[in-house]
Amino acid sequence: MRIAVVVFPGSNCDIDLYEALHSVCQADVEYVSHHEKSLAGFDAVMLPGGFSYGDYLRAGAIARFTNIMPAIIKMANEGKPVFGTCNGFQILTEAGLLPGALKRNDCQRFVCKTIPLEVVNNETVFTRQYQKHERIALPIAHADGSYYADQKTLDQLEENHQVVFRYAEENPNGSLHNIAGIVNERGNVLGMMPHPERAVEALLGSSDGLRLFKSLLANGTAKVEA
Amino acid sequence: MKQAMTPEEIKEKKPYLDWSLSEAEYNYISETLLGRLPNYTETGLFSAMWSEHCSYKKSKPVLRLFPNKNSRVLQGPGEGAGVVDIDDGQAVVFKAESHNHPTTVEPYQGAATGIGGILRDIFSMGARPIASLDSLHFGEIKNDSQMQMKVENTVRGIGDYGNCMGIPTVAGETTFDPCYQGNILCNAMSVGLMEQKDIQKGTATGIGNAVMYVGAKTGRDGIHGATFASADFSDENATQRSAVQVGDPFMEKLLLEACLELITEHPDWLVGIQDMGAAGIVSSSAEMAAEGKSGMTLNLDLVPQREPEMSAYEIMLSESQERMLLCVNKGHEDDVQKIFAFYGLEAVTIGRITAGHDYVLFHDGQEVCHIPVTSLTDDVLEEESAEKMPARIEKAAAMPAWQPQIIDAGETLRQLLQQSTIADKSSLYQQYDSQVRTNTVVGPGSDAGVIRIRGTRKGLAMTTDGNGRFVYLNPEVGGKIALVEAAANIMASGAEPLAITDCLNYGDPHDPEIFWELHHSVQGMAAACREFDTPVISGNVSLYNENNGQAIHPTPMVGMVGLVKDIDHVIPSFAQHAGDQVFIVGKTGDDYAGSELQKMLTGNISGVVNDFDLHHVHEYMRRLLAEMQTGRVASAHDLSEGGLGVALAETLFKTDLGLDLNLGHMTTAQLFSETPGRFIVTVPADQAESFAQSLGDDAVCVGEVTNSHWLALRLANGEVYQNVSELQQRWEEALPCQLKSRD
Repeated sequence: MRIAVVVFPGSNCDIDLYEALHSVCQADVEYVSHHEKSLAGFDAVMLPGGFSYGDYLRAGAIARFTNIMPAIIKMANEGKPVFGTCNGFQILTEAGLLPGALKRNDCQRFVCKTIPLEVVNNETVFTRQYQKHERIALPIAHADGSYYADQKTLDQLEENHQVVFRYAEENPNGSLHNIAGIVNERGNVLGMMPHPERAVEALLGSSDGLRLFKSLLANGTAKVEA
Repeated sequence: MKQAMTPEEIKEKKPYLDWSLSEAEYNYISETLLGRLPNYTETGLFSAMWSEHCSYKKSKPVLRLFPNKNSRVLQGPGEGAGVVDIDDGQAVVFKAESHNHPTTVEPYQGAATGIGGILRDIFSMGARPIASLDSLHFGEIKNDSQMQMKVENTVRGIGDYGNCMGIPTVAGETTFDPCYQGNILCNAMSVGLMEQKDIQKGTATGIGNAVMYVGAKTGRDGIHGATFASADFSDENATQRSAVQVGDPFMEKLLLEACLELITEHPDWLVGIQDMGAAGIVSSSAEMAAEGKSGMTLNLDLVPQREPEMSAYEIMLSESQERMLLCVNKGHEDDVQKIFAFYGLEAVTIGRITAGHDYVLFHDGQEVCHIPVTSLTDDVLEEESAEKMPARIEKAAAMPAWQPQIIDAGETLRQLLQQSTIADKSSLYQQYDSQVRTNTVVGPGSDAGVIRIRGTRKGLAMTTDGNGRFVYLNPEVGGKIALVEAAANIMASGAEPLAITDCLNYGDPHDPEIFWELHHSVQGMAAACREFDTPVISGNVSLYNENNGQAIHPTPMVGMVGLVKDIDHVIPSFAQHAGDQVFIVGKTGDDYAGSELQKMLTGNISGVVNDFDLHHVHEYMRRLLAEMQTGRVASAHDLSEGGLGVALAETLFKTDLGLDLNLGHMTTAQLFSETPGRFIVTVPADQAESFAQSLGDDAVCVGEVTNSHWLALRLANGEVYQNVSELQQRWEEALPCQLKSRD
């Protein structure tokens, strides 16, 4: 499986994703610049955290207009795995690949700490190696992570089992339904505020994020059928 | 463009006095260096370059006391940052810088641009910044909404800049004392990693080579920031906002990536590179030309400008952020331009290296400056300074030492844990991304931050430490304590101290008592640097930290970096297993002068700070480190503010363990004594005997780690029996609560 990590101007967790896949999982991974127009030859694409375009205007609002975006949308439409963490999640919502929006945290501050999550849906290509309702600990590091969607969208997300991760004890940002991560209806696009790529080595505090990448890699190049 | 005044008008009206250039200096420049009257632009350039901030003219004689070489030092003071060999062809690059005046006037931008400036110093050397630290000293926050806001905005400024840059903030210190009420201290430190082959210099050589300007456009912000930093505060200049710069971390992130790509992939195109820091274009260009012993001609009309009709003086002295100056080999200007264009940045040739040694500027087609390069950089008159021992120190020596009366040691401990300087800082440091780049082994809230070096077994430990109270009471001993405290934090993490950077924060050095404080505290620091073989490889001096004539405590900040040889031997600062034996390393004396206990009980600090045997402390610290490196130690925590009592509680926070200790050799007061060079160490029971043997008389076994979450201490004249959860709750809630307190 060949995975692209997209580098936008201002991305800064690109190295975290790259090293999680390369050094820890020994996966076939490459950086791809936002200038590029094609993702031909890649089986999955990942959007890293950071501050694309300095979060100017709104987090993710400018990155969705970059050259690479149509290629990412194409992969999503083909059913290939598309993953966004933190700023990557924000970009996916801005691009309309995932419903809802991420607002400024309730506390109005940037928050960096490791917190407990519940795996709500373990039937996606990203979460098969987790148990349903399993508690895991992942780091968060964001100022704009308060998930918002209208009631109808929230009902649909719940009904279709699109909520993949929920904040388990403390809701650090005011997200509705304690949502920490969601997939699209088809299940091949995952966006989440926590950073699984920062939790792949016990040396750094937690390796609970490792199985997300392992789930995906074990899945090989299979597409998610519509 | 017409000059604002003629040379004769300048001589007569003396506007340079407002720019902190003295009449004697002006006369020396006119009569000796130039042999004519300088014009308006030239006078402005001299006043900035001859400011203390750029020239260190007052502090230089004192700075010479510091050792700055050993076998590992690859680059000492004088370049963007110091460089130290960490084996395998790798080097660590670090420096700290103060941004006290801007942060006092405009905390958010002052702190943010402080981070921005120090990061540029690191990547201008060719290193990628891998971690940031800070050292913040605020006034008291209880019921002071203005100071509370300054704390909030300073922290937000540091966070917003560092987080956006994607550089983890892994350690630091935050203290509170009334002496910083009118002049807060914001010192930022950055640590970078590089291959030794990529080391860059701020130099400009090769006749015909290009001087290229890269990064953000030049505006009118921060003009005379350097001289602003070199004068006292008063209510009058509390409104000097225009001297404070505005930061754009997104621009800096792009600049970082573009510069590192140029440095590491195209070393043959680049001759030299330097950050445009204090005094903007003039300092970077003049220092590069002086370093290369070259002449330089710049055309200011080519400088990218954000505002119309800027004068030559404004362009040269602007401290707009996120700019760098490069010297590029002739013929590669377009190549360099292409790299920066990929990142959406400007790269413009604004001048050339010339034969001879003249510094020539053109603006609007006219020559506006023509002076010898070295007149700006090397010919600065060093200032003789008068010094005198402060009367308070003589007086204190004649007074009997203060002896604390402790009635209930448990209650005293509860109260100490709620002192703002001791209380939990997580509400502040959780606003910093401490994990980005996924190398953070130990983040904020421990003795030192530890970063692993990917692809090796090595790691780097780092800390910032400064305690103005000890230095105020005894500059020389206080200077030693600052260094020992930093070394203790590094060694408690299992690392070997490599070298230090510093920020020397003092009041107005024209006051002989303040210069004496500077001189004697540097003497103490230098002695300790020699003992620990930790040379000073970079740093800065921040004088004139006063408000309405009230100086801060002399507060030298030590930023130390240590090398972890095996990342698996990083030692945690909290207890690990029930049954582990507990040792106190280092002897406890009656050291209450300048302690948190004294501050809490008397509202003030006074007395004589006891001197101590540096060599002895270093010697047993080395033995302790050797024990750690062989894996015999489960946890180690350095004792600092609040003494043993506070350190014991901290050892248990965030665990579910307890301690049961027999401290019959200590009084309840000594539980809070702040004797330097002490540690609380836990050792697995089966290793305790050999540990005790290695440490000999310098360690005493006092009990063991227990499964009950209680702190139980039996002292010579009392007991402590405290529920740890309750202690932790008080410690955690104190600072958020005080930051909201209202009368």
